[in-house]
Amino acid sequence: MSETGASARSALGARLRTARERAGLTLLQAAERLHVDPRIIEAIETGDLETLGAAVYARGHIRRYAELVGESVSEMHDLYAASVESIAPPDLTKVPHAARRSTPGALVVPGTVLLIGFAVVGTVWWVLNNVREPASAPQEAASAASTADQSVAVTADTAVPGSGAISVVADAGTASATDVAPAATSATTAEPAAARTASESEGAALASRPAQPARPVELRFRFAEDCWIEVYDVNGRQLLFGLGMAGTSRTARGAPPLRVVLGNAAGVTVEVDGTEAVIPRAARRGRAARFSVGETGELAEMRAGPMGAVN
Amino acid sequence: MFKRLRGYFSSDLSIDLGTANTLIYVRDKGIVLNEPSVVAVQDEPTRGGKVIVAVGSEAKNMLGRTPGHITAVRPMKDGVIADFTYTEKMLQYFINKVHGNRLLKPSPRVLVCVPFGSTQVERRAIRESAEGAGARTVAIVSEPMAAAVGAGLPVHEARGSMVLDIGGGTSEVAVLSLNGIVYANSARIGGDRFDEAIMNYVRRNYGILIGEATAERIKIEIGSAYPGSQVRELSVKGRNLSEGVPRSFTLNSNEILEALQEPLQAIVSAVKQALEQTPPELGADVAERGIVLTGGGALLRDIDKLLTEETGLPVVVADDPLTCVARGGGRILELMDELGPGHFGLE
Repeated sequence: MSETGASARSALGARLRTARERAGLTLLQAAERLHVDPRIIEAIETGDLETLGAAVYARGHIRRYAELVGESVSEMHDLYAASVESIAPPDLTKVPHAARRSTPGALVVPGTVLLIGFAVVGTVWWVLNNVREPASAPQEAASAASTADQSVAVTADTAVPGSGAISVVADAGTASATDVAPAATSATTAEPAAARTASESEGAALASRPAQPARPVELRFRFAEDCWIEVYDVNGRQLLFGLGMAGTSRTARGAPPLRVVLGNAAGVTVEVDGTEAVIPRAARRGRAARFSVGETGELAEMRAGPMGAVN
Repeated sequence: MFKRLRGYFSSDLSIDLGTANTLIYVRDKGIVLNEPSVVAVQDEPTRGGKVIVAVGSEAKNMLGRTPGHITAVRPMKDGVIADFTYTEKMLQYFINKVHGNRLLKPSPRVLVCVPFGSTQVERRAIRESAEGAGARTVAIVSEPMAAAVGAGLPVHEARGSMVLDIGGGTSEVAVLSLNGIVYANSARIGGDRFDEAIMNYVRRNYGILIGEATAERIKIEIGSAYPGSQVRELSVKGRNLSEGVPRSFTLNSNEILEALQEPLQAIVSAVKQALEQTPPELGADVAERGIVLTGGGALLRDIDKLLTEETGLPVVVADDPLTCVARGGGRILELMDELGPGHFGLE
């Protein structure tokens, strides 16, 4: 107990005792009036405040005693507060009890660790995925570029004599072979035509990914009636797209397999590389027909959606 | 799930959902709200029925002074819910007010103090209305337990401590030891009954009608529970029943003492009954240390003297008796984490 605490206690007790004696009461009489044990009055007067128990009792008893003997309650309470600065309020945790249960608060730390763990794993997964994709993309680009180089080189070499331009260009797997056809007839125009074909083949090669050299297939459509027609090559490039008028014919040439959509299949005859082909019955849906043309020139039904997706 | 998440951004609350006043204690902050448990609602058929216009002290000023389309109601009666919807709305308003304007809707852990004598149905209603007001989890503790802890009684000791909590609707007396209730008794008598007794007395003896608010003012200013040396007087106005016009008259503290006899005697008998029922060892401890008074009723002048004379035991009034229950609830919330939920008779 501090020095000031001790002096406040004795001052408290002395003032109350003086007031009691001034009021002409004995200790026993005071205790009787207050209905308390005389020990409590004695304890207050001698400054033995621990006997009174918890602060709520001590303050209560001091207030009642002060009121009885005519002392100032607030001053007595101030003295009490000064004297018991060391007395802590009752510590209710000192109760015998079993091991503590886990509390929601205890879950915060493991929860945070778990969250951080998830975040780290997620980041690693994302980084790995993103590294793998660019690594595969350049490879494809490189292979496509090399194919294009090849075709350009071959075209350049053979274009000078002016003779085998078409065959070479065809071997390079370009889809724009139809443009080249007139060029083959005249040696004078062979050079620019070959150059143009070379540039076009380069573009085509860059655009096409698999760049699998395959023999192009020529399709010829003769229209007995008006018919909507769409033709795509193996790379999804549009070769024909539009309405074929009755009495006309159109030609498409491209790397197989070609995908063909006919709006009015009954009014069209199809020739593959000059020989007439029959549209398979399974390919027809009402008036329309969807079929593919393979490398060998056979017509096969196509079960995919309108755009055909991938065969 | 989201309630739980939001809970991390909300503070734990201890709510003393009293008949007269609602107090909220926020952990680590203290008492942050002390408002009358009154709600004022307005009829608005266009917006789907009733709309709350005021809660708390603002609504209390409207009590007995409302026009036809506004009703000021006290949703709690005798310590329990009388109107579920309004209680929920009121709690929601108070909880939001305590949390201030936040981005997240608060979802605190809430401890509600209920009268010891409340039934399971009443407790369930309080729990559900607190949950409806956004509480994440609701713990329920008996009012006398919270009052004793809030008053600073050494309830953890193996010694008897007796507490008498006189609230607005109920009075609770309990003997506690080792963080538990040994005996408790609840009488549905409190500050409201005092007001009612004063209103009845004035009507009977003066033929004048006064309102609840006036009766409460009389009780606070000149009410006393034990004949004192000085007599206080107060001039009040009310409606004369025979003439039908407002009249002014003067009341003194002795008349109010007489008016309060009936409810006071009921409280005294509840205390005596508790002393009778207390096991002798604990009774001896109580006799030595005394009875501690808490609750708004403890502020009635000389009520400690009355109880001292009637029981022959020392009776002391706790510091700040009005907030004891809310403070005790807050302390229990803190201790709940340390000791586990098996103490203080928590539900």
